[in-house]
Amino acid sequence: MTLIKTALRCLQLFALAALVVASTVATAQAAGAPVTTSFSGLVYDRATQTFNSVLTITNNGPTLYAPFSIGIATGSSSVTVKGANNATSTLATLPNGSLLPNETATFVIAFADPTRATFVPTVTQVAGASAPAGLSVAVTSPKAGQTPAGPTFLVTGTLTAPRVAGASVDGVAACVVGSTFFVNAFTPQVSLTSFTAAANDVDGGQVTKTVAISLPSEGLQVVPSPACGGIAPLTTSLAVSLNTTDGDTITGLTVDFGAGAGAQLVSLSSPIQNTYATVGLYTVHLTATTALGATLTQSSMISVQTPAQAFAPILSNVSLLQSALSSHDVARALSYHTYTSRPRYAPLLTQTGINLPGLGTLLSTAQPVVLVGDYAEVIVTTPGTSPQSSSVVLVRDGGGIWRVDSW
Amino acid sequence: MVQFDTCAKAYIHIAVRSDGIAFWDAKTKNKRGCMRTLKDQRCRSGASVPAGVIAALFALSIQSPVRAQSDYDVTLNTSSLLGTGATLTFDFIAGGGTQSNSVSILDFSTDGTLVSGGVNSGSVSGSLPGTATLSNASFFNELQQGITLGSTISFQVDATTNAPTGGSLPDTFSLFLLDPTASYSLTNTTDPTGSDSLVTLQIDGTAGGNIAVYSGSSASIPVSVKAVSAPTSVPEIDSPTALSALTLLLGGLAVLRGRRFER
Repeated sequence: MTLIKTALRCLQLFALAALVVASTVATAQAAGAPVTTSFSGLVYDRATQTFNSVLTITNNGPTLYAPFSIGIATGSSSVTVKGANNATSTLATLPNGSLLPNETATFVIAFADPTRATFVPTVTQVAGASAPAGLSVAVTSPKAGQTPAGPTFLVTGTLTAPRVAGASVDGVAACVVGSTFFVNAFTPQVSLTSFTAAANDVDGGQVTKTVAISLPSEGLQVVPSPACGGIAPLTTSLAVSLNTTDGDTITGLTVDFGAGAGAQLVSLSSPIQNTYATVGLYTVHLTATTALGATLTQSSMISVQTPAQAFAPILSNVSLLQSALSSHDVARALSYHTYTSRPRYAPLLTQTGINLPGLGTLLSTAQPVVLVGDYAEVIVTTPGTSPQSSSVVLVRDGGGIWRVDSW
Repeated sequence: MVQFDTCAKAYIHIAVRSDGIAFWDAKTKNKRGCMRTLKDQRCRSGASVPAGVIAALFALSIQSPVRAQSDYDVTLNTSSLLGTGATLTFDFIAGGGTQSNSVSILDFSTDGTLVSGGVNSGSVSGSLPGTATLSNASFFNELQQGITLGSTISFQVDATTNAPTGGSLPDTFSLFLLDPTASYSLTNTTDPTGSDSLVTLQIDGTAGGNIAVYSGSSASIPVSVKAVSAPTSVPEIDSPTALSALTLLLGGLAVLRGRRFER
């Protein structure tokens, strides 16, 4: 019995000890956005006469943008968060303008403590916007309630973006030229009575505009190749067909390539082509007459650019990747890769001893080489007496944003 | 084989130290009432327990150090500020938990000249160049020492390593080189808190703590920090493995007692 009593007493004591030992440094879940937070220990700042801590926030949810707010409670009425309106509404600036999924950001939190009382700060809430301020999208054509020119039709609109962004319509990447976006030969992907245009920030934020339409049963389908356009001089081809269910056929077709030559009657038996010598955004108008007596019209847009204009969004992505690598931000660097390539590059970019800034420096040498449709290549060159070059392949994703696929 | 005196009574000695850590040892009392630790037992007769079992018990129970010392040699190269009046300042700020921690400054050495000046705050005992200790008994604990800088300052920092409790922050030691009035740092540093410390040691419960060294920008004060040795451990036990070990031990002893009664 003595032995059993001793054992029971021992178990009690061990349970007590376990409670004491098991308490560890706090990483906490805050209310609002799904994040993990932790404070560093306090260091006294004589310049501000505050006790400073580095608050580390890891985003476990979708991308967060400004206005970004952090609520902190100190647990002591004599301790306040310096610079905040009160202890529960601290506004913070995001270092990169956004906090990506799985990305970590740090913030210096200064506690003013006139009484020098012991306190334990906790993060009560972290909140941010779901898209960057200033990101917007508007649909120019077709307007809400209109009947498009056919079951497939041209969608045009405008995009404003404070950062690198793309546009899409029902998940189909749109061509973007300046603040204009368009999708040629668009077929609604989700509903026969509406489509949704989206402005997509490079870091994942999105704003959308849904437009109600009334689809006709017949219309011209015009598919330009290349889909968006290209570098001047550009020869573009149009594949024209009749989209109908009643057996109607095209009997005559005129095309105005929008380059000043006016409408021209074209043969349906030979390729419909035009070469654009100068840069610009051209609208092609087509008019067809059919065997059943219908007159159908359709439009397409062709973008003709200089190499610098065409490669600008591609090099912007390379530049973002370079910056992320230089700052050792692997989560951000991976986000500038295509979704399919991220699993391949995650282990490479996190391997021990890898020189991430060195890779960033390598990317700074990027020179344009190839741009065909949604595929682009740039060449990077190692410095030194025997430089070596390798190619970086980028593709345009469904959001209309160029991302690195291999390098 | 290690044999036990089967007539001996077994005791498991459990104690909880002042810092809240439980530890244990096994002792037996012989017929004359003398307490002996387990490893000292030598049986004169009777049943035996394989030595491997004993070794396994200790292997299970002795964990990585819960209470350890993290010892670092710190050297400041103050050549760029030779002859400058300064206040060497050591802060130790409590993280708010119930854990007990302290930091000692020892083996202090400099080719500069210690001068009067500086005001200590909070729980500080001792003074430089002797051993000084800051504890987290108060929230803000600060040791200040006036000094006319030479080219080097060196000392050892010994810190306990008790982890923060109850979601509190780690107790944190920080080192500054301030002006003679202890109003501002003599150099801006890369300290991420913006406080211009040269060294921070966060006692986060890991063996060596989380130590960081920050370089100065406006005045170059190279700092080198070197771990004195692997953190020393006091054999202590963590609860789950301790329970396993305890069960095994008590089971073994019960068997021994059973054999005794059978006889």
